[in-house]
Amino acid sequence: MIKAAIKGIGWVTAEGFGTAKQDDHFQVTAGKVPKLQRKDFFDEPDQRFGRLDAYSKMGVAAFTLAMRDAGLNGLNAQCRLAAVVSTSNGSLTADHEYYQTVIPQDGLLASPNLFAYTLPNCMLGEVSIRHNITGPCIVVEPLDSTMLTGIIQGLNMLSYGMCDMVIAGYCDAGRECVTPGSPGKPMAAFMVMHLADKIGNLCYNGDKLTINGIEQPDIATLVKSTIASKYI
Amino acid sequence: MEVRSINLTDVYITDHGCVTSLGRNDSELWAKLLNGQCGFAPVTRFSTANYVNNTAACIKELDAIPHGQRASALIDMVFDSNPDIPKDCALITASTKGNIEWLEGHLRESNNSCDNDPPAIMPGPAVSSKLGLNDNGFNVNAACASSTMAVLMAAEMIKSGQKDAVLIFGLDLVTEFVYAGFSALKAMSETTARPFDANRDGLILGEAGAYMLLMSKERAKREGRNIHGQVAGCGSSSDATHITAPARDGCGLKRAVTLAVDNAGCELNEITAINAHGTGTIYNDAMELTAFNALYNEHIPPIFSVKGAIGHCLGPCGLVEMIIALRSLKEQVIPPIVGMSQPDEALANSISGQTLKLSGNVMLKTNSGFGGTNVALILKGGNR
Repeated sequence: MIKAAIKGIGWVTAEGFGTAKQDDHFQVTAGKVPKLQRKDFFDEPDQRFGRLDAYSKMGVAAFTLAMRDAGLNGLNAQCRLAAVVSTSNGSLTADHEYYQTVIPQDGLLASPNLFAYTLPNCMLGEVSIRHNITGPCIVVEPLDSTMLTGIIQGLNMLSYGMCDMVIAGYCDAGRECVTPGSPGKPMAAFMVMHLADKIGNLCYNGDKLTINGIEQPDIATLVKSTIASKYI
Repeated sequence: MEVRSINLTDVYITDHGCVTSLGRNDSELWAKLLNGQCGFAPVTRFSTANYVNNTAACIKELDAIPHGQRASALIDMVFDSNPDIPKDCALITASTKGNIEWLEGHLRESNNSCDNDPPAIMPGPAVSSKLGLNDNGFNVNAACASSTMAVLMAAEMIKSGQKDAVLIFGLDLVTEFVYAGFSALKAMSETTARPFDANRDGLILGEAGAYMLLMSKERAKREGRNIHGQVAGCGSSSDATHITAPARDGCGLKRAVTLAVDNAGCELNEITAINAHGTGTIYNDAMELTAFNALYNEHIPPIFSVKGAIGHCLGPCGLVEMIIALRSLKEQVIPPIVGMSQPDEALANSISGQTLKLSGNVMLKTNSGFGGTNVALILKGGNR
């Protein structure tokens, strides 16, 4: 049994963005994500943020909010932090946009900038640069509807001793053209977690993920349950 | 101080296989590598007129397969020999773009409409169905370190006792999608791949399908499995410096190697040889040589790359290279670095265009990728 405490949560959905400690309203709905502006997430100018694809922008934003919620901004490289995220569609939107630059003239105008973001792990690369995450950064692409694989792998990484703290979650731009099992709703949600045998209320027994003993069927329920539990 | 989990069990490599441009099985690949053969040839699947070259290491049999069906054909080829894969094993796949040909065809034909849900682009469901596994698993996407990362995760699952058998499968194809991207990034050589050569100027793409079955020591012995080797240690890190360029000082790779060596409970001077990422790009190879130079004060073991022979196969490259690394330990020899004629002076004494004899049983395997990811594994040889 892995027991962990949650230090912070950040999210971006079609309803907006927020953090657990601010008591922001978390809801996952179909629709378009509101415009994410650099000033809402970073104090310093960050030209690259505005140029990111939708998936990367949502991921970087939600990750940054989770770090802020956990009071982890301004980390140095000595922290043993890792990041793991699951995604359904991953970089599918970037795939579309990039390949539209390849088709017209048989690749003559292929965009190198868009190509880089056809790898879904580049979102975590962006995160690692901004927050100096020097531990493992992993994207997992499961075919299920729970969207919990990132959280579970994050807990596993803690239990393996790969890191002291992990920022784990789910990120998907929710394109209408979806892979089987995907909910098709835009959502990026990250949790900052660390092992806590005595006080941890997030438990994974290799089969089920529970909060205060109640099974969590998907990530949206997990986020809502965690916020409601006031244990952060 | 780094603290890692206690190794509750050894992680054994009990089966593996691969299909590359140099053959449909490990033995064919190994023989051709020792002969210094190269799998590069002109690409015929799509027009390369507007790219920096027209070469790739394609699997010839796949050229005749219709566009969009090559990924499933490659899965069939990889498991053609009906390996004994237990139905209850966990599955982790490693692919950067999977069956991206499906999306290519869809976008060319549908003008970007999304009327139909795409089929599963990643190979998990097809592999699971082919082998009758109970698990669809998940795909690990860590760019060119995907399969090395997948092996790391599988090894940790087994060490911790969560699983006692994990199948790792990797696959990526030479497609216009990827070819155009590397050409646009100016990461592709105009001529040929020359890993660790002083005059290297870029990579050549390749394709591969590969699998590796990991088991706990206890299960492997109980089932009387062949022991091809052991994953003795793992480490992973992020550069946190750039998305498409490696950290110039090799900081991330050094950290990953240090973690892997510590995890294996061995010393750097116990490593017999290093199978590096060795893409043939100016900056990747320089980063690796910088990192290895910094890790070792002296007596750096032999370093080799096979990407001058089979190209850069992206997601599965680590699996293919692990298979070659294990064979190297078994035969006590490493193949020549195909394409390299003038060793980079940064580590000229450790890289060779000739076959080199080994004396030892420990291989350091490293891969690095876009996003700044690095993975290092310590492999030990099996039955000789």
